[in-house]
Amino acid sequence: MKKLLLGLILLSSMVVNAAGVVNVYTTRHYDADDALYKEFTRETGIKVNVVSDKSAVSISKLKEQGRAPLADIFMTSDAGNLAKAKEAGILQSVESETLETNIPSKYQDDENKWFGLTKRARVFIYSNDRVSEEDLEGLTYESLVTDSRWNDEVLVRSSSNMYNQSLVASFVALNGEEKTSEWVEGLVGQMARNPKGNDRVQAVAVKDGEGDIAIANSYYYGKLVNETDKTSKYYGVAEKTSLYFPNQNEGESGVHMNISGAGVVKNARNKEEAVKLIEFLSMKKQQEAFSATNYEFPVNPEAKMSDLLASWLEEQGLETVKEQDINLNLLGEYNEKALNIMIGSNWDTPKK
Amino acid sequence: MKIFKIEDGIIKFFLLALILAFIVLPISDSIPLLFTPSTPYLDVLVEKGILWEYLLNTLELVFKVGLFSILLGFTSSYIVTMYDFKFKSIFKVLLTLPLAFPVYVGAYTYSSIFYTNKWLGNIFTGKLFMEGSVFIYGIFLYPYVYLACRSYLKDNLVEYIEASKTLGKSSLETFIKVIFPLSWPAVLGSTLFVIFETLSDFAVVEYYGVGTISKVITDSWMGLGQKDTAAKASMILLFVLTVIIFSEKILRRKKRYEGISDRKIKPEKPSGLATIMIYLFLSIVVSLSFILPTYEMLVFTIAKSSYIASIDLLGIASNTLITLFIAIFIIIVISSIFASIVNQLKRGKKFFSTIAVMGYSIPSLILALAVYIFTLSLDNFIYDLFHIEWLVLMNTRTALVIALVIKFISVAFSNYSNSLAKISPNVFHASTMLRHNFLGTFFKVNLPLLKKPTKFVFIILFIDLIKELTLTYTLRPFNFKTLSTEIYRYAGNEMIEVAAIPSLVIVGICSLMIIYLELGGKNVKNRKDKL
Repeated sequence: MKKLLLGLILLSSMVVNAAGVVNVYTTRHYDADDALYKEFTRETGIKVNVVSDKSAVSISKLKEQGRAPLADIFMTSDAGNLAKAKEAGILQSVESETLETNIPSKYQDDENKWFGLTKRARVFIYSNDRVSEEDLEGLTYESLVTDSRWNDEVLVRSSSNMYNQSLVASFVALNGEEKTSEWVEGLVGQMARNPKGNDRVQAVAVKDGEGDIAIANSYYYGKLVNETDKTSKYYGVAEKTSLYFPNQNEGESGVHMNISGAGVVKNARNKEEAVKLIEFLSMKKQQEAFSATNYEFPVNPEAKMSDLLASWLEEQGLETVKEQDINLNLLGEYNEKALNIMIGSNWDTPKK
Repeated sequence: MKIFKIEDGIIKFFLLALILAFIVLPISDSIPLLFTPSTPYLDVLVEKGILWEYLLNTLELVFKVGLFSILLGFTSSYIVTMYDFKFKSIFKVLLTLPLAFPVYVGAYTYSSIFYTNKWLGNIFTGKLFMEGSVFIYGIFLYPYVYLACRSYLKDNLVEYIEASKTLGKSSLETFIKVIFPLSWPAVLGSTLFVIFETLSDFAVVEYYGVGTISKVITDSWMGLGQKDTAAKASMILLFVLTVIIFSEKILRRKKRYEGISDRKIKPEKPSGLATIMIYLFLSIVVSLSFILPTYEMLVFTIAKSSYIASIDLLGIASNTLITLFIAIFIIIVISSIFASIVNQLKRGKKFFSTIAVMGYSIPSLILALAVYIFTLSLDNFIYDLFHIEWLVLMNTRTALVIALVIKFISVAFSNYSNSLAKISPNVFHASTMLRHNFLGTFFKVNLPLLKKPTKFVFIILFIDLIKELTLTYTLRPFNFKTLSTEIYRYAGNEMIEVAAIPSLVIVGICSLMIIYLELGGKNVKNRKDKL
């Protein structure tokens, strides 16, 4: 009797898995993703197993797993991480017409080893009460560190965060190491306090008057707008602050636009299912879902950005968002250099 | 070298070697990493003096946490031992409950408390308290000092105090000239454990933005994937630790002062002023260390109760418990054998005891790194031999369990050693005379004798392991979630209210266990016996 039961259980578990499975190592930690995975399973019957971890750890583990990686997809929220994963040799090339159609070449690896799925801009969040129209005129990444208006007013998170490292890396790619060192040193001089907390916490600090302007990712502002929990410290922050895309004018470099994306792991056991999942996430419907529920910009040119995001452009009088013109792989190449510049300038302890 | 007096040298030698290898090997595997060329990241740290700054911060942290714990722990133990007052028994229990809080849970909960109560934040998060980290470590780890001193004061100082009083010294003078100096060994020993736990944590200093050597280890290992840089930074930390342990031994060069008689101190009723001060002090300590954070967690849990189902609390909890029980079982088995062998050695007892304790004193990050490297090479070795595609060890709990065993084996070992040491060696001689060899003696004599301490050991291990984060987070396999890792993950995503749910589970279970031990009349953590 017991044997029969055991056999049935084994059989049923096999049947459930007959449609396939795909294992994802991801550094993205948004509820919106889980909803999309569930949708994918509903449509294709393929089960999605997800493990969340820090990027370097995942890359390191996958590299060591070598011939028998536990994950089929490596998904992460920064082009620097994707580039590092490629450099570590843990990703494989994928030939997919769907992906070539859906994702412009700027947002995917030229060797097809990783594919961007969403875009996020590293923008300024400023105080409605204390920052005037004049302050915003000519406001750029460069003026943020040179204009005395922002002295002791800038809030940004720590150097250990990848988004900041990529921001600095993008400057190294655009302006070279020396100029970037100057920029970082200038920024450290403008900081209102020692970096602590994440991006949203910087916005909270703006609301609380600890500084007038913060550097944060655009989708976090979307989260703040949609904060409904009255007991949360994030409640009401969006009312007191606004979002600004720097470097949008003629002759300026464009805002730092980073991507989150995914690649298929080398020697993946479920390669086909993995490609299917990435293709799924690049489709117009899912792209618009990313925009609507996680406030990111879609990479698929067919997909429309959500109304909230469109309102941000409208408020600043922008038709489109001007982005930095760099090969995103460079964000990985210059990552360690960027981190060293930041640490060398005492990014984390400006106020001893 | 003939160090075994009793027969069965071979069995014992084999077992001993196995256990030693188990503890020492993983650590030795990291040594080649120390000799790799330096990376740009490490160069910047050294050149800009940042490594040095982090080292100084680490020393400052250790020093301040030590002082703060002594202030809280010794004072409360003194009050509770010397004086009698209403509600004393309740206070006595409440003073041990902070141990139910993992320090990282304390950090996250308090960041919220400080935000809504700015005045509290102003007191405890300034430079003095190193952004709050000193406060957190001190307020949740002081019970180690409290418990050690409490039992020490009660048992050992009666005669000295009476002598002092007879000579006409006031209470204050007695305290300064007699009680505190004589308690110094107990104070130092227990503070050392507070320091061990402080250095084993990486989450609190990370959260409060304090740059210590832990930051270098986590940044280089988990941020940059540079295991060799992490190993080198670990060496610095180990060096600091060695200096601390060495200083403690020197400071404690006088032997422990054992009381002569069996009399316990008779607590007296305090004067009016003293009563007020006592209640004030104890209430503040107890509120800050247990009542306030627990209340805050309850509020959060109720607010986010909808998350209980979605975070799969049951699944996480059962995974935690499975890992826990496996590790505890192995620890108890190994340490009972180990303690039994060591107990019967003529020479070299101290050496083996030190080896056993080593695991506990090594900061968890370093141990995790070492075990990680070791398990990986073991996996590659297995592949070379058997060509199994699957990574046998890395994909399972194995690495984690190995590290947990190495780290906490000393807890069980020292308890068993003490229990066995209390028994006359004649008992074991008798067993030999009845023609039992070592194994026979082990099963027929040692095991039954160790039944009672095992209950105690089990609870202590349970509390320690369920709180454990560093080893669990760094060594877990794919898709492996425990209460501690989920707390860290949610807090890292600034979802502290949701993190309160698994936190409450840990604090709740541990509180019940601590209360059980306290009311059962035993000292909850007699860690001083380990050194």
